[in-house]
Amino acid sequence: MVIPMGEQVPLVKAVGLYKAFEGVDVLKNASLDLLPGEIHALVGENGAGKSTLARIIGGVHTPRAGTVQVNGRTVHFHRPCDAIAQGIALIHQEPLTFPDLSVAENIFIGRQPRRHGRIDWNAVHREAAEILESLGVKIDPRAKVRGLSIADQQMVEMASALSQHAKILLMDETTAALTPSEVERLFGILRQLRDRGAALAFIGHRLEEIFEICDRITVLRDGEIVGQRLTKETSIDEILRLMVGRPLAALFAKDVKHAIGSIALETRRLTCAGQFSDITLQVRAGEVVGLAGLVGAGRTEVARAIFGIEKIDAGEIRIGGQAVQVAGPRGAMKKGLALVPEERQRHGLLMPMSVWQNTTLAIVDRLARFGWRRDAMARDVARIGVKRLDVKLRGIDQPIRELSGGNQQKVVLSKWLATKPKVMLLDEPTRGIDISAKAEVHRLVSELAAEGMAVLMISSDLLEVLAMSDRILVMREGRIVAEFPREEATAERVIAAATGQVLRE
Amino acid sequence: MNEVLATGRRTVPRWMATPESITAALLVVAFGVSAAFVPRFLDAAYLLDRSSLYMEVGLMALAMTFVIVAGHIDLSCASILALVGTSIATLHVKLGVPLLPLVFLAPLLGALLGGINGVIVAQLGLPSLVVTLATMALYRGLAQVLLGDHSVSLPAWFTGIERVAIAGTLLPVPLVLFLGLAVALGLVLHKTVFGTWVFAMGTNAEAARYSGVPVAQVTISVFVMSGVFSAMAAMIMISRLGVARYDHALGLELDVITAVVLGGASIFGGRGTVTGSVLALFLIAVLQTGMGVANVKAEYQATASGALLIVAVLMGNCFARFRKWTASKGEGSCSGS
Repeated sequence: MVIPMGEQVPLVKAVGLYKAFEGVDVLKNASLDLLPGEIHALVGENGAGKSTLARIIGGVHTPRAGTVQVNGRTVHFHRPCDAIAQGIALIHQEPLTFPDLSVAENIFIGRQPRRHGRIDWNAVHREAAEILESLGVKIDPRAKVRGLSIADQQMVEMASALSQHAKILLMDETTAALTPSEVERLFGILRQLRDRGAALAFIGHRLEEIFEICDRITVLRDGEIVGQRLTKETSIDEILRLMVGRPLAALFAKDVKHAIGSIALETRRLTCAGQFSDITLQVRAGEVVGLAGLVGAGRTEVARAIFGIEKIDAGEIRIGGQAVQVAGPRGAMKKGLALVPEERQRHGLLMPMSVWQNTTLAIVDRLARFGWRRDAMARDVARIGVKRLDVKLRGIDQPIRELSGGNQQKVVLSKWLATKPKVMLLDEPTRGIDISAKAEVHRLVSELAAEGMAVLMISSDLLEVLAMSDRILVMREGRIVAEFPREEATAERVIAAATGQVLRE
Repeated sequence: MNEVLATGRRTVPRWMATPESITAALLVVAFGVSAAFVPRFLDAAYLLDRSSLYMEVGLMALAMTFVIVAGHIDLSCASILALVGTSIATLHVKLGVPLLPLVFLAPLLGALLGGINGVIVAQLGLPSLVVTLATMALYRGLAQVLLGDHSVSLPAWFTGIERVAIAGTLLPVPLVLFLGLAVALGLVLHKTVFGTWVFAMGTNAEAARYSGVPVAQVTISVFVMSGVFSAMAAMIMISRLGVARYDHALGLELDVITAVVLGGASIFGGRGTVTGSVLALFLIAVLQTGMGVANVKAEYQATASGALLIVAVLMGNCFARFRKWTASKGEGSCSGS
């Protein structure tokens, strides 16, 4: 696996990095060398740890263990400007610019050339123009950033990095929002920088692009580095295999023996401008439909639109064969829908409140008589939920924030089960939870389907989608681009559809 | 069962670590000090008489508890009081409408004025701080448009409600009305579905909405409540003072908010109790009465009120930290992070 590095001394050497968020390991023993004159790709599924690795090197996150060396000297970054001082610049997918300032001001923000204690505007504009010209882009340094395209804003960030003599550039999904011609221009600049001896790390999902521009590819999976290849010695197929290659046995698979019933949820040409368009899908009673795709493909937005949180511009939603107008989550709930949201703490839970209060929040009015709460009944409902999902806690009066992520997620699930829905929308139901809680969630989903519930499951965990779904829909850039029945679905096919590759079979 | 797992050791019992118990303790101390220095302070008739001065603040504080627990604020409550008072007086004195039906109309007018706040906040998604800052000026301005700088006198039968006692007791009507409504609203906030929604919304409005809480309706409702209670306070105030003026209750929203926050409500929403607000109101009443009897100048009293508000907010923060700290102490093996 180790590839000889030749005589070259790496500009950045990360050794044994560990990082955990909320008790979940997102990076485990990750080591990485960035060589001068080389573009180094970091690839992996969503949540594999690529961005975390880049952000540690870029000074955004502090690792729990491990070291980062720059030019052979160990450094300790506490904030991004520590990294910038060492010549490391992190360029984000969404450029972090000040929209109401000019291009030149953005480039020199915080360190404008001064004369007699005042900002020397002539120098600011002159130097900005020089840097932009060296990048070969035509942007007026006096223009406001607000009007610029995402690509041009990235150029501004890049110019800012170069003006600070950055020798190491970390590009976090910088091409995701660019058009093909903008990508070409960016690649021209990256090659130019590489030829000048800079070290570049490139995070991306489009493998064709990576094979076009990168010299070396490191594959991450579940926070670990699982392989490193020289681009010229590998193939897209091999990289895809490395990305997903995990034993299926570790997962709970859906029980597919039971019958699938009539259509419970259907959308017809559902469109929300700028988010998704023409979404036509059906979920039958007893069926689990997986919705796969990359982050930003519009899957969460579809679920939110069905649940009445986002307004739809066109198309219709049918529940149990009838067209319905979903007016907000409350209306959706009354029609038998439930949504387990992606962001558990922000949208799913009232953190200071107790487990039982959280479990029964959605049905507090159903349990009431003449507007009076019936807490004894509510506590019984919570106890049933705790038992069914095997929630680990001290008691149902415990504040939910004291529970681990997996147990919090189980409470969110039991909250929605308490509403007795016909259709369950699950948005990343196992993100950031430990393996045993994950298996528990999978067991529950399988059980619910067997009881006749229709489940639409959004997940970025490919193996989860493959193991749990009767049918898999793949979204890319706001559209459904592929559909696979369970028997025909493979990890390679789903990834290929999600990233827009043509797979050689 | 899971439930019988150890609760962990706490150095301080849970009930003592609530802001309400601190407010109650402060009330006892303030009362004791005042009684020690002012002999009349132990005279029940005197105290009951003084209490009427604070019932307008108290009524508004009851509704404000809901507004603040819901994560909002209503700066316009004192202006609603003034506008309702001047409107009723104008309708009666200038247009000759009989006063008795007007007294019952007043809460409806208050509901309308509060409803305007609520609809703007809920439907346009504007921060209530800004919306009610605007209507605070707007409603006060309209009150001045109606009456200018004049005082309009009200008929004798209507005035002096604070001197009317409940039959056979020394208890003045405003105090009894306040205590009755306090019990009722306490039950509503802590025992009903509506109260639960108010807490849920103030804790995390987004999560509440995702969980099917009708956030817009609850928002409008709490502002309507605030308007209705301000209108009731208006009736008591014009009866007590015998006149209606546009500058009635000028700046009184400060006392109202101080009472609620001092009573342990979090200014960020999601925490607060009616009991706490009631205790804090009496604390403010005792302090101000004490200062009044001790001949402290009005400007120093205002300074003290402002200082009290800051202390109340700071206290809330300390409690949040203290609770977190005790929680982490008592947690033991629960979460491994």
